[in-house]
Amino acid sequence: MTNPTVLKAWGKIRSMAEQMQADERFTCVFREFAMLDAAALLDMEQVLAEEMGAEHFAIPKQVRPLYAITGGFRLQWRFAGSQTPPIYGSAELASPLELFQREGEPEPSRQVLSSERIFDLVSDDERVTVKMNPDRGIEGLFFYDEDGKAGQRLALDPSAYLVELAEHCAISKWQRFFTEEPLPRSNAVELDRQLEALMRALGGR
Amino acid sequence: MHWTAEEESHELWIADSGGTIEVMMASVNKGPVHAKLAGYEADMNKLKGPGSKERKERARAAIASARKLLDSTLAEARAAKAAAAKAEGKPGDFEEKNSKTESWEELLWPELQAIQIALKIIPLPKTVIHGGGIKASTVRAEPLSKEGEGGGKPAGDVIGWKHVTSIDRANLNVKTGVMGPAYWVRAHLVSEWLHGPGKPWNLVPLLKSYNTEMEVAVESKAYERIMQDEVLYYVATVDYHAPPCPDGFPSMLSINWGAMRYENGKWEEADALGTYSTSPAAPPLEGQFVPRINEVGRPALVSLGVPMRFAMALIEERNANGDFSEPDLSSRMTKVYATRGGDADLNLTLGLMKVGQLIKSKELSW
Repeated sequence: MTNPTVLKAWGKIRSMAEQMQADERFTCVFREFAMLDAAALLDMEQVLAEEMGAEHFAIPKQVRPLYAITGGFRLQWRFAGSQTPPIYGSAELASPLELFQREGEPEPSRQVLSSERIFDLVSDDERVTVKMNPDRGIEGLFFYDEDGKAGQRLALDPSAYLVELAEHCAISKWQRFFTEEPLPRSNAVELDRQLEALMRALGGR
Repeated sequence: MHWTAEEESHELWIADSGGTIEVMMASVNKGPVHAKLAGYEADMNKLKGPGSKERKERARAAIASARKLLDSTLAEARAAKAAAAKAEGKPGDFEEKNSKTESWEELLWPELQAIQIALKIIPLPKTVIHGGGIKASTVRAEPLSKEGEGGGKPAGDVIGWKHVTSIDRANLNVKTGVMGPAYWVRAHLVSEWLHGPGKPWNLVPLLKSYNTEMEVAVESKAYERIMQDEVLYYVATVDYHAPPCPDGFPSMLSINWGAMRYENGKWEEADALGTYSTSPAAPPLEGQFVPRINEVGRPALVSLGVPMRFAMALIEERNANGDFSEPDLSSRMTKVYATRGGDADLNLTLGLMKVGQLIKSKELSW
């Protein structure tokens, strides 16, 4: 079933990326991963269930609304307008298959169902993971930043993550304000400034 | 079997004393292993101070494991003894049982060493990385333990990387605004998780998929072991493609690794734990790099829109009968689908059509 809020957020990300790609002040890479329709998702579940030896395996319900509207994507943008320094953002939301098997990994085993997997490969040194739970599907999202600190649990489920990602245009480190012990909003002056500058550049979207 | 702890030479053997079979361990105080284990358990219970909880857990697990192995060893030894008694007519039977006992001894010593490390009878050595120069050849971590200088992220002028940045420009470095590699990485020969430095002599340009494969197949396993206080050796070797391929691109990467045993005050290589090797293809000489159909895995094919079961059939055929070439893809896949039921013809057509589209749109290449 399609969640209208998630659908709207996805629409916002797509149109923002298209606008950035058409604007020479921006450098933008945007690649959508192939979306799997309901039959293809079901087929994938059957294949993975067999490989993992988990008879009743199904894609966790927490990510279903997301994968009903996108197959995952890579978005990287940088704006070199008049403000100093430049502002930038990035996200790489895993495809449904990548939650269980990334390129170079062998066929998944049952262990994957109780492990931590990459959900958003933000950059070389930042990532958001999903902690899988064999009973509950997904236990939570965790943000790892470049300081190499232990993952901080995000107060967002996967759908809300996409909504906030769209809201903050994937601006670098927006996740810091959505951890269970978030930075106070008063610390978000820089994030807000960047967001405002971006909105102005995009014509007040 | 010999090893050394706290300047004591240790030896394992099986003794038959008045009809009772025992696995014995020689040190200053020679005695049966089960008695040694009881002594270690008592020492373990006295552990105090920082890190003692973790060390206790490790010692407890190793003692439990050693006891289990000891029981098996004794059972096999008794069986060997019984076989020996009947050996006149069946020497083969005795030899088989005796060799089984030997293999249990091989399993027992690492557990005993793990206990001694947890109890600090054997000091955990600091990792030593052997390597150097400008270009990577062989890099060796020996001894390799969880102790050591932190590994480093890739830095410096890696031979071949300049070529990568000229052929792979699909990724935006948002911090610098420079377009750069999306498919290639500067890969460590000895991983930074295993204290491998991010210096050019420990780095080679490599496709991400090979790097992940190496992480999964070897590095993560070695990392798990050292975090359990095991001591390993780990040797990574690289050969390079010849011209006209630009310098620095590996044609073969291999890793040999195994356990180390503390003997006569030194760490010595002991049982091998595995070997791994891979043979990456050379990069294109010019143009934009496009992932090759013979190198991509299932996740990449599916994210490009190739139907999952077709992707699986394609990889299975590639693994069984070698790389595809432009003229044989269709015939080989048709042969694969000839034996399949259901909508085999439709699935084959859809799969081939999608691959054809991806090659035409330069999202995949031969």
